[in-house]
Amino acid sequence: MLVTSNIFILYVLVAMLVYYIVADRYQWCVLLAFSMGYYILSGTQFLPYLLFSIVLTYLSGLLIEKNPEKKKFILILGLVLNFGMLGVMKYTNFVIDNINALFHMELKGAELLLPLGISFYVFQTSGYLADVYWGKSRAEKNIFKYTLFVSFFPQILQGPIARYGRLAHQFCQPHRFQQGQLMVSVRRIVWGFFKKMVIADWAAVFVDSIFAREAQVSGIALFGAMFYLLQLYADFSGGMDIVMGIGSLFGIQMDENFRQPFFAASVSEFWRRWHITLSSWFRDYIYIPLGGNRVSSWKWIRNIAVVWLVTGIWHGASWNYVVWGLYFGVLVLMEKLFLGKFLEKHKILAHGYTLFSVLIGFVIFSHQNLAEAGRTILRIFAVPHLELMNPEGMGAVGLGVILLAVVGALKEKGKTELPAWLNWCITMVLLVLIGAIGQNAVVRGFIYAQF
Amino acid sequence: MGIVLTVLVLKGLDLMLYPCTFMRNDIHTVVNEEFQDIYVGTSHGKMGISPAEMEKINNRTGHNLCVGGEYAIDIYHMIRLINEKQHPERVIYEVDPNYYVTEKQSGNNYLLFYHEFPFSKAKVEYYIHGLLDKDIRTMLLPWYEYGFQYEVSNVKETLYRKLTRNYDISYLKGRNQAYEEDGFIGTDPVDISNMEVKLQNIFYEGGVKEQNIEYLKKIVQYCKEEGIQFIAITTPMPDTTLEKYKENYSCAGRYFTEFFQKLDVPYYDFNHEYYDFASHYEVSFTDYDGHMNRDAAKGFSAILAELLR
Repeated sequence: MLVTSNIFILYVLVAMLVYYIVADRYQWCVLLAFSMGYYILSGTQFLPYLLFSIVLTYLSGLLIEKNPEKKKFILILGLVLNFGMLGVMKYTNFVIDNINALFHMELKGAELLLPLGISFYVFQTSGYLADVYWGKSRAEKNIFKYTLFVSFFPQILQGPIARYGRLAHQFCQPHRFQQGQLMVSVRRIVWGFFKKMVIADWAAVFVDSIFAREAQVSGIALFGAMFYLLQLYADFSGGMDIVMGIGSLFGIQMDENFRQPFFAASVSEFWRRWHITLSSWFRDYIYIPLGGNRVSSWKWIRNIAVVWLVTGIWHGASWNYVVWGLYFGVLVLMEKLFLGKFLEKHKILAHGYTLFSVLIGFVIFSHQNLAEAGRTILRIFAVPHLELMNPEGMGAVGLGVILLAVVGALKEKGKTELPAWLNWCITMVLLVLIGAIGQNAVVRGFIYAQF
Repeated sequence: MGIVLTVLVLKGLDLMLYPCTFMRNDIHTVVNEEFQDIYVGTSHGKMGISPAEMEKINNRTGHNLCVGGEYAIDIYHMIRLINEKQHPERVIYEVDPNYYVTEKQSGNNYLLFYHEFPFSKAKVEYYIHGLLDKDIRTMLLPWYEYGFQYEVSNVKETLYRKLTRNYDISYLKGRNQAYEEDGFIGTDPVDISNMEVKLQNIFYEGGVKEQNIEYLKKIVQYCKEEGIQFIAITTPMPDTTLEKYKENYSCAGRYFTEFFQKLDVPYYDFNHEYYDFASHYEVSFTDYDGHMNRDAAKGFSAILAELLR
């Protein structure tokens, strides 16, 4: 059930109707029923993995609270089993391929289907377990309420990765239907659709045609990389806008995943603005427990390397993600060691450096074959040749980028409150633009839903 | 208030920007007039079957509802719609085997039909089976796949036709190609000898998509239940095409002959069993894909009328 489909919108409408009709104390039950329904409709074969993660971390949380003397053992066992499931499902074939390549063996790959949303919910449940272990959260006694925290349907397929302490209590609060809230939510959803259907899907058309011909046509690799970065941003942040908007239709506010990343003046800052819930998860559950920066220099370097290595691996079972993660790790280290002060003094240079570094990083991200990624990066420096650009798509992407920049600048200045009539007008204009200039030749799912 | 205003704006945009296609006329005609025969199928049927020409031979009234991109799922719901409004005696289905190895694309290919359905049980069912899992633009902005600038420039004519319920078809008659009142599209002859013989999707053993065949079975079953005679035909292809894709067409012929035999449906395959009844010369076609020109189509319609008399 694609988030951009009629059936999903009707599903949300029916869920809303029931949600606001039932008594306050049953509202969370409605969300639970619709969340499980959504996951089951997306593929029953994936349900056991979700339930395993839920039951495992739920029981582990209770045991940690009941047995403080054994809490470390329970935590480690819970995490090993939880991440073990993710590891087996996501990385088995990657490991087999590498063993085959290293030892010239011919081990057969396993036929494994990656369960929907597994990378997101395993991190969410593991974070909960760690919070209970550290005493930041009390263990949830009601397994159904806990199930809702893990499976809340707008977020399960591509995040944001929620924290128990900030999300779970909202489900149990009474929520009343408010027309003002409805308008704000709808505007955000339509803005997400605009980002996805106009910017991301048009950029994807260019990415496909450029990366298919970049070896033959000189100087287009730079544009390919730029369009890919734009596609990824509009696709993922557009998806997040839809998810956040839907959550807020039910009165649920989730953690923001993006904060105008292209306004960043360093790579470190970029990562505090891009996929925030993942970066902060790694910071809180890996980097800080390892000692953060309050350790010796070598250990600090190790901590940064570990965090960026797992950031890369989280995205997929392929070497390009590992290299991509380490690439950003090296840049962050350089900034912390000597580059940071220079960037602070030269703001314009800093923005240019950040954009360019991120651009190169995402070329590595986009190519599973590392040699190909290297060749594309080299071709970035060739003279541009723009024959592959379709004027209609260029116009749509151009307008999209201008809107992104204006909205980003307004958000940076904290100007997000609008009168209701203006809100409505903007929503309608965005809707018309989606119909008028949206890309419609190929229906594409969301990129991050595959992780 | 905001919701009502939004619905009104979306309806207004639909009214102004969704073009008046010939399918609008076709569906309007078949739900408002009674016909003995209804022709369904693809562009080969649209350009190859002239109900008016057939009526001269067999004295039976008919309307051609074929169009490029018409799959079994569309036909099933159209027959249900027609049967809600009138009761045709026969449904004659022009089968293009190549449609059975491809999947229907989302978006306009559904809207072309769905958008013109009057409110009915068939429309609701068609929405559930065809459009429910499609892009939200099919529901909110059904005009999205048409050229925005072009439709904006035509707003006046579009609005006039829709608001005055004008179904005059003169604007659908081009210089070389004309849409007729009976749903047939006649095209002037063209020299195709310089064209390339290249079919995009061609029938092959094992390539049949489940949804297509499932709906074909449903159509046959529905017609049986409703007492409508169901007849299948495959229009003639140029010899050059048949020669180039010999294996594929033989395979398709065998597949559908067997399929229709099992279901007790009369099947006229003009590329095999009924090969000699129709012209396969290049001069009869406007391309190697098998679209007939006007004269050839009229000749073919006369032969078909005799056979189906």
